[in-house]
Amino acid sequence: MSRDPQTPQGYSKTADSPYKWEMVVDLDRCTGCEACVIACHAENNIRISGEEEAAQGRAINWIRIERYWEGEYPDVKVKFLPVLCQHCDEAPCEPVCPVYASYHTPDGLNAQVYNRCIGVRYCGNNCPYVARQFNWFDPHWDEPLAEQLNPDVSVRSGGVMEKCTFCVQRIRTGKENAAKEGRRVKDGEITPACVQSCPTSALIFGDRNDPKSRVARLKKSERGFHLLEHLGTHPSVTYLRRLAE
Amino acid sequence: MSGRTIGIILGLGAGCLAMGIGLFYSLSSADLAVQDRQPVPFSHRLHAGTLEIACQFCHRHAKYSPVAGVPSLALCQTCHQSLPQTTPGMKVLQTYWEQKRAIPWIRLQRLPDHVYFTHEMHLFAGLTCTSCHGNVARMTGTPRAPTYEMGWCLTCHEQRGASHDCWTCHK
Repeated sequence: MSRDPQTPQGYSKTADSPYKWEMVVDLDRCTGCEACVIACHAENNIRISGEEEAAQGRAINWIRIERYWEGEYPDVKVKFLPVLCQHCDEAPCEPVCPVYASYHTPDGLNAQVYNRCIGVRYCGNNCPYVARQFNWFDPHWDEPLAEQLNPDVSVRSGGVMEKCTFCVQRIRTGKENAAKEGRRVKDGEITPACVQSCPTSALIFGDRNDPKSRVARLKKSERGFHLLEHLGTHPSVTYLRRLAE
Repeated sequence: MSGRTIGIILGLGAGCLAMGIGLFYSLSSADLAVQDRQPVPFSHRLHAGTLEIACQFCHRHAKYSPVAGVPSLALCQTCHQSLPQTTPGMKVLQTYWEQKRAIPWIRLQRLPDHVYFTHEMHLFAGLTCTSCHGNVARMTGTPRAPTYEMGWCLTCHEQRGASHDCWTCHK
């Protein structure tokens, strides 16, 4: 699939899909509660790592809350930044995959095809957001946790790279429901697990091609910025700055 | 014997073994029809063929869900309770009914975990059961349909202009 590298929105302009899924993260609303992290783990069958594995950097999280301390005790402030795969329009992880396991979907999602992945980890090393994580071990769930695995998401085995999918299984269902009724997906009809679980609605998901969607409107906010914007990755996740305190 | 002779014999032995295993798989001997023997000798040729019962009368989830579904024993009984037990198969069915036991049908088609497939959308797209499962009305027993491999799916997706995106079918 060809893309014009000169246009930041190249993909959505040339792709044959009517949708372009994007997310907005309102940093003014994030309380750092990590409900999104838990919801993501449950929805996407993400393996559980113990303390030891986490210390070795082997733990997997598709979304993480980065924590920044500002000031000196007792006058200290903490700021949170939820970081997930940015689904870049010019994703650095895609061209480096030798087996095309990492690719761009017509909907503008950065996808990982697990059954194609051979685990060279080049994509993960090329991701400036450290959004891709490698399965160093086969997953394991203590009983009865294995009973709650989501059947709509494959369980990744050891040796495979994985990452946030914007809950593609939910997108797929939403698109199918819309197709059966012969209409477009409505705004708010599809919610990834993190968005659904956010108690303060700091995460907003939707179709940027729909000018009335919340994502399309919030994206134009003056507070909007992208992570590591200068790299030219053109992320699909827009962050909204905190309001001045 | 010299080391060279032993080497040749070993090499030939390994080669023969590899060929044997290859032959075994190419003949699908690893996938014997015996494994498909069902607890009740059900015939699609009789039910779908002779009696012309619509596929979705029994596999009634196909239109509404990813799986087509295997009919419950109660559904079999809607017809069978008023039929005389003339064949051994019907007697087996009756035994299951009297013992209030579900028939442990052997599942024949199972897609790998990384594949997302839904009957619902394929029927919605206008495909018929026979498009993928073959002419079931002429098949005795519960035969396996063609191997559901990716190339086979893609051939049809290509012909019909369906999605080629990996994430349409891989999850």
